[in-house]
Amino acid sequence: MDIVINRLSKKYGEKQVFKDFSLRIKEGTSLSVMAPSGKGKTTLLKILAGLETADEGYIEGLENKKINMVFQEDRLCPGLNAIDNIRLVCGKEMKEERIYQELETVGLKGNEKYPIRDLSGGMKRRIAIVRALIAPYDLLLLDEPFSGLDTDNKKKMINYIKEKNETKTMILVTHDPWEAQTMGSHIFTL
Amino acid sequence: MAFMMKSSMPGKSKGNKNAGGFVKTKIKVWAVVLWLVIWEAAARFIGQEILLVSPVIVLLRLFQLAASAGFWESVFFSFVQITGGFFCALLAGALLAWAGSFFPWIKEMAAPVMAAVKATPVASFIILILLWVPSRNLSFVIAFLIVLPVIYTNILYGIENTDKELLEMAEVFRVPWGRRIRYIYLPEVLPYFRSACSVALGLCWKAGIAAEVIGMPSGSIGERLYEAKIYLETPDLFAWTLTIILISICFEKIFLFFVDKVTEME
Repeated sequence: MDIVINRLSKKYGEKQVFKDFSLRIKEGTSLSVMAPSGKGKTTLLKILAGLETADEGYIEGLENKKINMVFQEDRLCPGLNAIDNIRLVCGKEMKEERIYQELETVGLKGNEKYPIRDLSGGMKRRIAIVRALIAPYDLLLLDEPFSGLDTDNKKKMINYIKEKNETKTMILVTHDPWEAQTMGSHIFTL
Repeated sequence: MAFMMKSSMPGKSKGNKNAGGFVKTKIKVWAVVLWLVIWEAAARFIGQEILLVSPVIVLLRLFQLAASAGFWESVFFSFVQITGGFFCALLAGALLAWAGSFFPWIKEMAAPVMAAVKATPVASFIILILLWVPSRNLSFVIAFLIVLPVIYTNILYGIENTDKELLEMAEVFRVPWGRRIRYIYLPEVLPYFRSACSVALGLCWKAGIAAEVIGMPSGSIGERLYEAKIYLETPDLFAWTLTIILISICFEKIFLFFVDKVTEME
């Protein structure tokens, strides 16, 4: 089912983030949303994720959709290791071998059992991305997912996401044109 | 009285500080021995047992008392009443804080009550509650009232300071409530809970025994203390006081040991 954004408006105090914003996102599309900082990219994703409410307008097509998200921040439990952080969202049904395998794919072999607080920023970022892709979903939201990654790891994670997310709807927000072009089948500028 | 123990939160304090924010110094054996010697010297200098009894006599009297069944009956009675009040307050404070963190009207409704309970002198409570409940349950109610605001305030603070970003993540990823409590709330709340318990355990014994001295429930430590005062049995007064201190410290150590074990598991 397509996602239809109808005349969405959002204000923070006196600051109008966006006004009468409308967009149709076809099912299975990989959409890159580009905009400079402060133009409401994250707010748009938060509204889609149900973490913020719009002042006006509405969104259709999100009913019963499982949404996964890579936030701007890693949002991992610092005391838990990578396996447990992923299991926190996936539950015990997710086989440990599968999580080990995914972490190995993104170059985290050997770091699975360290508490998150002991890992580097780049490692945390990769774990946050794996978490979003391993748990079942219908819509994937990516908020500047590659920030803090070096070029090699950025390329590795882009390939990983593209490989894992072939058919599901994905919305990426970024200010990097290269990321937007590489990841998105469609690009939209706010 | 410090109800908020931010300084004892892991990662939020530097150095060895206790709940009040003061630097905690480990008690050294030599310091204890020195004070015992000073006490003994003072007792010998005064030479009147009724005013100041020697530590040796206190210890001997304690052993004598401990040999009687009545001693243990009194200890058991007061222990059950005071720890009963403590555990009930723990449960009520935790539930109320949990409800208050989700329903602001509960927090608003509880705020004046907690402020009043904190500010009211214990003696006023004791006299007032004596009118409502039998004296044998007085220390239970007083321990409950003294512990409740400490536990409530700290757990509420812990819940409200739980990482909002992690909670948003859990919301988006549809993490079930059981797992949210276990992996997101508990690690944040447990340090506050521990600090609250550490403070509340000392307070509940002090207030509970004070209540028993005033209410004089039959067969309680408070009644024994009162009798010691009436008959000017200073060795008994000191021996019972030492008993209270020992029970309070032992209970606190054992309880906090289990809390620490749970915290380590988290």
